[in-house]
Amino acid sequence: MPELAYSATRHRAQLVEASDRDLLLSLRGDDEAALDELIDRKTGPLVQTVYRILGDLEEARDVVQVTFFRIWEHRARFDDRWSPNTWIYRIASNLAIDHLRSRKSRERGNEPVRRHLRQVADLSAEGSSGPLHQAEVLGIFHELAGELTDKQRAVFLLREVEGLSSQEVADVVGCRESTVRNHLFNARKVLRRELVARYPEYAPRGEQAEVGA
Amino acid sequence: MSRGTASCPDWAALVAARDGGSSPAGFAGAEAGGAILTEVAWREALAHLATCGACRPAALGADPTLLFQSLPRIELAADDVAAMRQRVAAMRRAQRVTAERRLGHLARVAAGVSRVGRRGRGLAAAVLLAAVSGGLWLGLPASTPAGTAPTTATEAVPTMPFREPAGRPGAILPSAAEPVFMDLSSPRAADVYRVGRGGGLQVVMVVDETLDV
Repeated sequence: MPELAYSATRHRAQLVEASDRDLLLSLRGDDEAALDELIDRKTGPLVQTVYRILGDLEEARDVVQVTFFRIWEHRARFDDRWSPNTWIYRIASNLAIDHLRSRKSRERGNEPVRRHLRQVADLSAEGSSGPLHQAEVLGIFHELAGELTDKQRAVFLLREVEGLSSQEVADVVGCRESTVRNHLFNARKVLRRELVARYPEYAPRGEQAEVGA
Repeated sequence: MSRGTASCPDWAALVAARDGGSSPAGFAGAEAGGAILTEVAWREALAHLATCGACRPAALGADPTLLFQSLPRIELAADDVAAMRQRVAAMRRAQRVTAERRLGHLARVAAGVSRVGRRGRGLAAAVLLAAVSGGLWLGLPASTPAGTAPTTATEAVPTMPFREPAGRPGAILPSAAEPVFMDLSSPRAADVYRVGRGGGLQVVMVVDETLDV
């Protein structure tokens, strides 16, 4: 009788149950099925984060694609003492920041406006929940975030929007926690100033909610 | 002024406590509305803000950048994730092909040079050695590992040269060439069976619905 020596289905089922750390450790054994499982799990969250950094969905997909390729290339470097998510997000955010820098050097005056229009189209096409107001907020963010440094932008998004802790952000961005707090402080200061100046309707001043007695 | 509910926080105090914080999380040990502000409490306040329209003017008045807490989410379809897997696999194949062509080209150059005699052979050896060393320095694989997992199930099927032995029409035997062993550890959707034991010949049966013969 033939002896079942290997079942791809069974192996794949085991990988679905595996932790992120175990998947990364499996990559070190050249397990391509583990890479596929990692892609299935992380594509959504990574595209989300990178899209918020870059403001362009297609560019975000490209960066995330390279992220997975880099994870595969550098799989031997993953240390199982590290947080898997931090390692993955570090690769993604570094690539996104590099992409942002190279894009800035190519950008012309009309590009931010065209990108804003593309963002609105992206959100409509993807069936994003929420009113057009949310698309407008995203456009405003990307316009104002142009006043931030790349690190300030990444720190603000990872800390304030994605909800990572200061230590996690420090590990992802590759700096000290005190530096993260400085970046965050300066990012808020710049965004506040620009929001009040350019979009005062979104920045009511002096209004306080009166808490019911 | 807009009235909130009894559960609405004092946003001015919350933001002041957050920004004045010296703890690692960036939150103050000082009081905010009568209690120590922790990151957990801050996240709860943000969750409340997401659902309470009455809080919005007060929150934005205290910190306009809270507007960006409502950046829209991108929802990816299953097709997008499958497409990402294919894109990453294509990148990896392209890298392998590029590396193999580069080494093959250098080997042909070295072989061509060797035809001019002993001096040429010495030069060819030096060129090849430099190319391999240079490839290693650039991070190119020095050789394709013998056990490299195939990327498709069709590649998992070993190809062997067959010949029909004289005098025995219909009988198929492997040629004298050594069969190539291929690592079948990660075909896409295959089950691999080992058929029979004995002798030096390993026979495996690959069952894969995606194979098109």
